[in-house]
Amino acid sequence: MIIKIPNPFNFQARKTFLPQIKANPAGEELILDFEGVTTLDSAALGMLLMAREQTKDTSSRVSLINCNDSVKQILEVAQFHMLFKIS
Amino acid sequence: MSIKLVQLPEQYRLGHKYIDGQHEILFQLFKELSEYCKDTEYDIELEIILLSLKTYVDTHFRYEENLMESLGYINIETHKLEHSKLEKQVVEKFDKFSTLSNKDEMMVFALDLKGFLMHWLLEHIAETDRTFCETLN
Repeated sequence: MIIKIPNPFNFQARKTFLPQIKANPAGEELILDFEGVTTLDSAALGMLLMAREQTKDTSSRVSLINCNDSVKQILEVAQFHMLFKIS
Repeated sequence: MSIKLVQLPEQYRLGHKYIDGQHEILFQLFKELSEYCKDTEYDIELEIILLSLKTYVDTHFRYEENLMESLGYINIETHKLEHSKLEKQVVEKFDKFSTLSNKDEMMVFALDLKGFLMHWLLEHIAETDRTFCETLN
């Protein structure tokens, strides 16, 4: 399942993002597409962790794709490259 | 282009890009918790904050400890003991959160968590982490 991440990716995005990750079928890879995302905050980091927790129960994997260099940098500083596949 | 994290106050800035960046995330969690305490309309926010904190603790503490090990930091065991205590407290708070049944309980919980994070910022980052980072610089 592919979810297009809204820009800005912040607390306001939870209403659409959280139901989407919960709808990911068990065992299916969850792909979060960051194309066009230039702004995120710590609530966004929290929601990514929720996505990871949500899929952990169903043996699914979470991948973050199309991250620009600035997004990659903040994810690296947060050590999220240890938790997600990022490209 | 903007990646918005709150600016870490100067007294918490230790001069290490990754450690400061990770502390900024903790500081932002504290700020968001403060916002939650003003308006509990969205229950999910508290869950996001707490879940962020739980994973943050794991990734951030392991990062610092690996760095200390690689540099042969002399006070590593004392520092790791502090991490262990903070980690245990976070797990206890996460367990407590799952037992909350109404908004009043959540508000009391949020205020307690806010106090815990404030203590963490003041004691651990401003003092213990600063001692470590001074040896790096």
